[in-house]
Amino acid sequence: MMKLKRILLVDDDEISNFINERKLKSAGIADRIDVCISGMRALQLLNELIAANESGPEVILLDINMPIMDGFGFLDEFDRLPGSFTTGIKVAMLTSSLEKEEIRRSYEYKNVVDFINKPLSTEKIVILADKIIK
Amino acid sequence: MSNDCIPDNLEVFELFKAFVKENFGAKIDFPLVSKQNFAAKLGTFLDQIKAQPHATDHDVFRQKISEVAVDIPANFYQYRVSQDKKMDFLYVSPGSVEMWGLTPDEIYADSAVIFSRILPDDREKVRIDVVDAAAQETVHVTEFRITNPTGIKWLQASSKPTRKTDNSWIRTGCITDITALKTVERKLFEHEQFYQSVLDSITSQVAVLDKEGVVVATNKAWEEFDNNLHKGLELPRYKKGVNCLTECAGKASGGNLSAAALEAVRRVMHGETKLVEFPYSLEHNGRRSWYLFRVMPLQNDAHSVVVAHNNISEARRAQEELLVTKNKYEFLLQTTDEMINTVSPEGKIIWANQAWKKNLKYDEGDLVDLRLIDVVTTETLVKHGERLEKLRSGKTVHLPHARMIRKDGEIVDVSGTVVPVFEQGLYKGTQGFFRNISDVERERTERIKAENLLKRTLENNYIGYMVLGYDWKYLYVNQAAAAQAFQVPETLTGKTMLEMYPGVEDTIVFKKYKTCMELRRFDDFEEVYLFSNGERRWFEFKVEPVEEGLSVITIDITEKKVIEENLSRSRELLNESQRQAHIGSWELDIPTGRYFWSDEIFRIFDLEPGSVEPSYDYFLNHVHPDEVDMVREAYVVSVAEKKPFEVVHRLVLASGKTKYIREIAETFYDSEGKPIRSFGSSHDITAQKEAELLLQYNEHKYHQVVENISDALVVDDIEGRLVFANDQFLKVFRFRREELEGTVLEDYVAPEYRELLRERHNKRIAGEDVPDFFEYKGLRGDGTICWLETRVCKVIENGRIIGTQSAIRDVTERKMAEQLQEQQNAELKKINSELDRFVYSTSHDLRAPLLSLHGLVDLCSSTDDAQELKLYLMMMTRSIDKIDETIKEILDYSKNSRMELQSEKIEMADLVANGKESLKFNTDSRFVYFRTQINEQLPFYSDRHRVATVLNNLLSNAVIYQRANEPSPTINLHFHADSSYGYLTIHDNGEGIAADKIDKIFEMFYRNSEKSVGSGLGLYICKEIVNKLGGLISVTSEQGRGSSFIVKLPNLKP
Repeated sequence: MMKLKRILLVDDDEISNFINERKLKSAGIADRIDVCISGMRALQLLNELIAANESGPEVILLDINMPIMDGFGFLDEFDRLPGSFTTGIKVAMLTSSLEKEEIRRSYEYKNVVDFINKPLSTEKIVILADKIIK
Repeated sequence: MSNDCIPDNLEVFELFKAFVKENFGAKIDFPLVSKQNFAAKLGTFLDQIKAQPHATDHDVFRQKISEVAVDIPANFYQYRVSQDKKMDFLYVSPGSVEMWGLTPDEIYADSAVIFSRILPDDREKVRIDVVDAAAQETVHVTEFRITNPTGIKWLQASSKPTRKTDNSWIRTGCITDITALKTVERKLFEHEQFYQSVLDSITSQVAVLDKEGVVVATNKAWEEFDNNLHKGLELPRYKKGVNCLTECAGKASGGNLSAAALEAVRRVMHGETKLVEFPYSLEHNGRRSWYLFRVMPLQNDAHSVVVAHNNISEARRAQEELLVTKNKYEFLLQTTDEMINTVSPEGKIIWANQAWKKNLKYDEGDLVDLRLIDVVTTETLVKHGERLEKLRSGKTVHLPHARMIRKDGEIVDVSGTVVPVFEQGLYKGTQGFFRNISDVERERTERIKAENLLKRTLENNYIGYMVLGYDWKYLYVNQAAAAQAFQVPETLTGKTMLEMYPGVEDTIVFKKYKTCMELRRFDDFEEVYLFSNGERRWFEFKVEPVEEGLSVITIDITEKKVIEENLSRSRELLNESQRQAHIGSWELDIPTGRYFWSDEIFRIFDLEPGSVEPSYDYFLNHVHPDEVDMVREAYVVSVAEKKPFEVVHRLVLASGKTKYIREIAETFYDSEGKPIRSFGSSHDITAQKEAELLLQYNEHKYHQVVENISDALVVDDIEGRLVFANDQFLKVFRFRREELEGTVLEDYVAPEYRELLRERHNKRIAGEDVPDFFEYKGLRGDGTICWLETRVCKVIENGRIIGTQSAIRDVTERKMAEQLQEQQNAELKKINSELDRFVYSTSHDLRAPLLSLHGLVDLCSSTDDAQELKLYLMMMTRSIDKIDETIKEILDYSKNSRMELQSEKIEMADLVANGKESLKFNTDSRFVYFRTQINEQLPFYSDRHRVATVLNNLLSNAVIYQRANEPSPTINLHFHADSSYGYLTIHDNGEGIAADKIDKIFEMFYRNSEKSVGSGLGLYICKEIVNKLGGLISVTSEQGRGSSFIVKLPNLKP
């Protein structure tokens, strides 16, 4: 399995974050895992990276149902970031939602490559890694 | 020098003056000083001069003149000019001091000194006269200017020459001061210039004649008039310098005018009269010009006269035009059935037409003292007063309904328009155009009665009647018939026509009589009759064979004919009245084929005035194809039979629009009976026609509606006053019939619909398009509101809208059902969407912790580390709590929507204490300072469980959303109740809510913060509960400062 430099996990549920972080670590997919508890904080982080002229995470795992700014709100803002920064960042939705409408809507964003149902498992991480390589 | 003395001896002075003139060539005219023996001195002097033939001899002159010269305001002198032009003064009288400011000695010493006093401009002239031309045998008179200490003086020097044996010349003369004269001359010149320019600026031709009759001055207008208009005319030409009395008299061949003009000049010149004035006309190049000729004495100069011609053609033509226009205008105003009046700014009725007088039963004589307030009801004046005031600012005022008072006190309902009248920008009052909208039928009867009366009066006074025997003998002649022939019945009766009027057998009239007599035929014709005194009069003849011979009725129609002829011209004033009435007029000048349309005709054709060349063909091309022949035939027959015609036809315009036109036309003929001019009017009666059709339709509909008695029927007038209502109306509106008197539409319309319905009513009355079918809320007699459905149509009588008719149906039940259904639909929609959201959110809120549990179990299975397992278990517990929390909220929501209200007395302090107790597990609450103020003087009743849910939610939020950096987090709770409501206020100094989010916080599943722990149902449930309790919940907040939630709940005491 290839090794990523950086993964960003965006979810408001702390327990969910705890579990997912553990799973990702044990899968050893990335050198570094950042966790943000809202879309707003994730955007803040990305903007800091842009300002520091650093490259962004290769993958963002994004929850949909979050207060203040939900996953789609984050994606709208994400699309406004400089193209030079966002190109190459793959987004995978990570949600408890089973709504077909939300799946469809997610794939309308060009950076979204996967729609994963919680809980995250080693198998799901492997499939995601495959998609990222493709 | 003083002026106030009377000369001693005038004769001596005259002689002296003559002497000076003779010897020095000077004319002295001055007031002589009064000195003792001056006259005697002068006398002696003159005697000595006379005694000495060589009086001008140098010594003698000096000796003698010096004796008197000192007393004379002149400077006598004698000088010699030698051959080499050297000038020496031989004598200078002491007058030089006064004249030059130089003593004689100073001048003797150097003759050049005098030149230095002369103005530089004049020096050369004087030198030539005095020195160079000294050797000329003529008297020199030179005028020049000098400067002396008092200013500039005009002097006149005159001298006579004497030739000396040595070829030198001696000139003897005198200098006088002519400054005063020069000043006067200059002023005179300026005056003349001024008066000439004034004269030139006026357009009248003016000439001034002196006392001999010589033209001394003319103005520009005169000269142009003389050059242009009199060109080729043999009329006296009073040119400057011509003596018009002697030179023009013989040549004048301009007929009466020139003789009269000269005679006028003579009379004024001889003081016989102060002014002669008469108009005359000249035809020049086929154009007749009118002039006013005036002769009058020139002021201050009794023997000079001023002759002036004023071109008054324009004024004259304007006057004629005005007269014709006025006649025509008045004719139309008089003959229309519209009531027209003119009112002065002071409110006096100045003029009224026949229709006005007839409608209001006034005679012409009554108008003298009639004021507007006498003929208009106070009610109308008060009602429309404000609008009528606007007339002064030039606004036209439409009065759909006004009430006027007849002479007999009866009220007449009228409808019409008032327009302001302005003359040269000045408000001259108003003109009103009204239609009587009272009982038309009664009016018609009155009119017929009045016409009959008029007819009888006419018969007695104006209709000639005579009976002629078979031998043309006058068997009977009435007063009028005789008067028409300038006779009395007695002179005619018994005589024959041939005796009375030799040559009568050749006249057209007699020939027609003869035909009637021989063929025993009736005839009716109009003919002009030329009387021996030169007068031409038009008569209408009605000839009928009777037993005795012929009966002849003669009516003098000259005046009518004159009016008809006058009607053939003028447009302007007509235009306005035509526009008012949609009547256009046209004229066809038959000899030239010229066709004229008034502006309104263009408008009838929907054209801009003047945009097409009017022609009969254009007109016929637009007549409806089915009616072209009928219209053409009507005109041809009318011309041939010399009878006016009236047709109603349709016009099809370019746009495809059809209009109904009433065409009335008449042709006028010259005395030979040839048609000269057709005059017609076109009346656009489309609106009337359409109204008639609508009326038929409405009548039909009316029957239908009346048959269907389940509808309430109501008819109102133009003011919206109820004039008819059927029984169903009373039933629907719960009125009793006796209550209907004076009811207006506002009385049975709900307040919120009154304005709309009144506006629609007014528009409908004004003929505008408004919806015929609509729903509105009605007001019943008992004050209750009902829903109505109505169908309204106009009520039309004689082409005018006089009110509306409505068929009304009570649709209250249907409306109520509709409303109920709408309400239920809205509720169902809300429930459905809530359900959708509910399923979605609960699936997330319940699934998320379950999935977390799933993940934790997964983690547990992959570790044996006891420490790690403990952590996982703790997290599992939190996930389970979260599930429980969500389920509780769902239960709260479910309970609120399903459980009945349970009202009981609430001890608010207990509820607050319980709420605080449940928060103690929340670690954040430990640092919060609670301040509670509960006022329970009046018992408060409500649903305990629901109120507790609201209170707990609000308290929990206040605790959770504290500000991290707030040193003293505080929650203020306040409650008090009155007999109607309980008021709960919870104020915190926490994070607050952003202004753009505050509207959303009560929405289902809305979460506004990362701190939001639940499913976002809390405030939604609060709102639902408060709604259920019939109360209100509101919030005010400032981000970063805190929030206040205010809950107002009804006191549900049993």
